[in-house]
Amino acid sequence: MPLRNPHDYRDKTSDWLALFAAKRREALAPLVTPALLREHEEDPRGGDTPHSFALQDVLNYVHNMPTDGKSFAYAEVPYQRYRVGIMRARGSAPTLSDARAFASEREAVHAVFLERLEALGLVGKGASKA
Amino acid sequence: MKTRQIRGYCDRPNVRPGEALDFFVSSPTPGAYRTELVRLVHGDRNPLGPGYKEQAVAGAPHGELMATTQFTQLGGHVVVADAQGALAARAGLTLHLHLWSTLPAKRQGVVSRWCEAEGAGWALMIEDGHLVLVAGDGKRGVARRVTETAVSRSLVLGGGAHRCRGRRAHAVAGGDPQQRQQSFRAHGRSRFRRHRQHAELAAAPSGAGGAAGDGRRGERRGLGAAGAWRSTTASSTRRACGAFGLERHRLREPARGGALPGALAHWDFAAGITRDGIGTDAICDVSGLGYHGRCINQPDRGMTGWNWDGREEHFIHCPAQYGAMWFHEDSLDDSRWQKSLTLTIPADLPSGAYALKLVQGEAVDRVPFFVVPPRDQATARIAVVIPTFSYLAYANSQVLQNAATGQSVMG
Repeated sequence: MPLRNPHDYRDKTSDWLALFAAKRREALAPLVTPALLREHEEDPRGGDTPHSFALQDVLNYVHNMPTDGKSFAYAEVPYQRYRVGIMRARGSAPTLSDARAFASEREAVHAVFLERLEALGLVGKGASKA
Repeated sequence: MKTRQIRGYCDRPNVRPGEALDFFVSSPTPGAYRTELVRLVHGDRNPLGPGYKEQAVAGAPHGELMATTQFTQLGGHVVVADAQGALAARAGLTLHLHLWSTLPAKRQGVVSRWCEAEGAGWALMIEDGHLVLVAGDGKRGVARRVTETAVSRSLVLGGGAHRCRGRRAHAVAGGDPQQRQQSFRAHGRSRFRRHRQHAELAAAPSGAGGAAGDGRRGERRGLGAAGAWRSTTASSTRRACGAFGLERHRLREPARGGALPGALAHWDFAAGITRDGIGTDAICDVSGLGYHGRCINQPDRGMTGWNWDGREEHFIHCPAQYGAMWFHEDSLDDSRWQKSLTLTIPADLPSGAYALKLVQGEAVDRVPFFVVPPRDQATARIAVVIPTFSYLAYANSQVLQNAATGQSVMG
């Protein structure tokens, strides 16, 4: 078949990424327990003591979510007020997720963690706003 | 979410007492701004530490200036000065080039002499995976011809001729193309032989006045590539812009080496390669007519060319096969803003970290720099090494923000 149009050539890696993502979610679902959420809430960075293997596994996956639409902790006033921001496509300004404000980076990072888990279906709908 | 307002940079990170330092400032908000020289004492605002501290430098000149909005052109490209307008080619021209597009779906210029503001000139572009020839007379509008020739990441397009002549301009896309699978050693012709397309354009190109484009928004005069439209092209070994009607055998002459006879210009990207590498931003016009070009934003040079046969693996050993350049859509080596002010560092200023503070209403930016001791003179008992190369390297790094691997580690 002559090569005529680059759009005819589908990127087949996306097929496997979807399968990979589904299998990872399936494997990670049993790891997301109240104890794991509590561990992250107390020390999101793992700076005091290393994270448990379960939390490391979950974090590895949520870090790897697509950049466009990914939530992040936004320092509106450093050391005073933090919000949840949403990254947009390259060249577009990020937006704020909602009106919630947090007094510390730790709380905001944990809120972002819950938002990402919710987006992946690893916690129930609305869990991140509870 | 807040966006950056007034901001600036200086022309080098280090300066000695008594020397002059240029500053470049831009603000999206018109109006006056104030400058002040400050010494940076402590930059971390963490409330557990001493907090942010700076000291105004007594006796240093303060100023008030009017803000302007300055534009940064991203992307590697080559600019060729054409003050006489010879490359406007009102009587028509033929373009001959080798091209490998790594982002074929993105809109990008390949070779152009085009003024966006006037809609005048000509441009060979890639749009939506196809080569597009654009001509504008600056009056009746812009004519476009989308060719059937598809560009793709797996093909090197070679030998294409793109012609337009007078008011009855024609586009001949891929005249005798020699498209080959990239990295094939053999010189096998592909199934793409003979793709010709003739069509009338509604307008003939006219020359946009003035000298070559200087990278400012809306001015694309002169010949450039890729970056003028902010996209990536891995582009050609040679580019010839010749008189209309060159016979096909003459179009092949650049492939055999040497200048193309009768060409308006002939850029040989391999011509600057020496035994010591490539030491300048110059692009050589081997036609002898002097249309030499200048690289903007450091496109990668010494890339394997369309004729690379795989036998020689170092570009300095076989320049003729390394005549390709790679233009990235996001590369940047200098914002090239207009100078806003020059500050002469006071002769008695102690070494340390300083900044020019820019204040416009509520908006503040600090342009940092380091004052080093006078040459061959120690002014303190402790030497502090500031890693300015690292600062520059990481300031231009986009790995964390844009690369999936960076996101997966730290995102």
